[in-house]
Amino acid sequence: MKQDNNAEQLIAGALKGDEVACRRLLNLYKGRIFSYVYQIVKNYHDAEDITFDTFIRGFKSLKSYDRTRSFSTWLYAIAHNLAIDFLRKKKIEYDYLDERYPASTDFVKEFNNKQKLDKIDQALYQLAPIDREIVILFHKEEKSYQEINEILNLPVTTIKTRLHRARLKLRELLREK
Amino acid sequence: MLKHEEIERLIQKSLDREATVEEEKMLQLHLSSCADCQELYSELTQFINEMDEKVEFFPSPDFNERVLIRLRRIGE
Repeated sequence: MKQDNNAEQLIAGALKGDEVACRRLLNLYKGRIFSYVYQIVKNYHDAEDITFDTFIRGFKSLKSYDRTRSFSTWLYAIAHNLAIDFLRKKKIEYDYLDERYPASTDFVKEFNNKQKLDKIDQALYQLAPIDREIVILFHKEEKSYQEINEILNLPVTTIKTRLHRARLKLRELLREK
Repeated sequence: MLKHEEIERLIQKSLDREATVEEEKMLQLHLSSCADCQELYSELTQFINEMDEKVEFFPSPDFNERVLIRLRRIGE
């Protein structure tokens, strides 16, 4: 669990309205949340708006956060729900769980030019969005299956099966490079 | 000798951080003597190691300020 050990005191501060504590919480988590949301919505401005809303909602409902659980898992769950709502509102025309509709090749091309997308990112973008989230949460954020279940609200067995398949797919994709 | 499918299952279990010490030993023993499985294992672990080095992106520099301004408004 990355960085969560530092969060407890800061959360107590934020609950009392201490802005220094709020700033520190933002500094600890904004990069991770923004990067995560970015991988879902694939647009800088939208990712920033959703990250903004995630923190506003997080701070507003801080009282309901169960301190025996991981703070970042709680934040990721808020971010995930807001990102999915956003995709629904925008009527993004793909089934979230369907890997036949990966990111458009145009997007990858455009992003490649702008950000020098590395091999791993290119392979990740060819997975279904939900699989991308699972891979990032498990292997980058080092979340457990139980925590991913709390974030994505999918059964652990489904998450596991999808992760196993995603690993093999990534292997295949990276071999082709 | 373990079958290829069993090794793949063990590799996945190891990557799931769920393999027992015994299973890890069994896996490593097999990998040291089987080039095909060793290749599968290295390729599956390659991206996991690289994921760790993935760059984190950040929102714009005035992000904290904007969040705090909104929170102050909500609090008023």
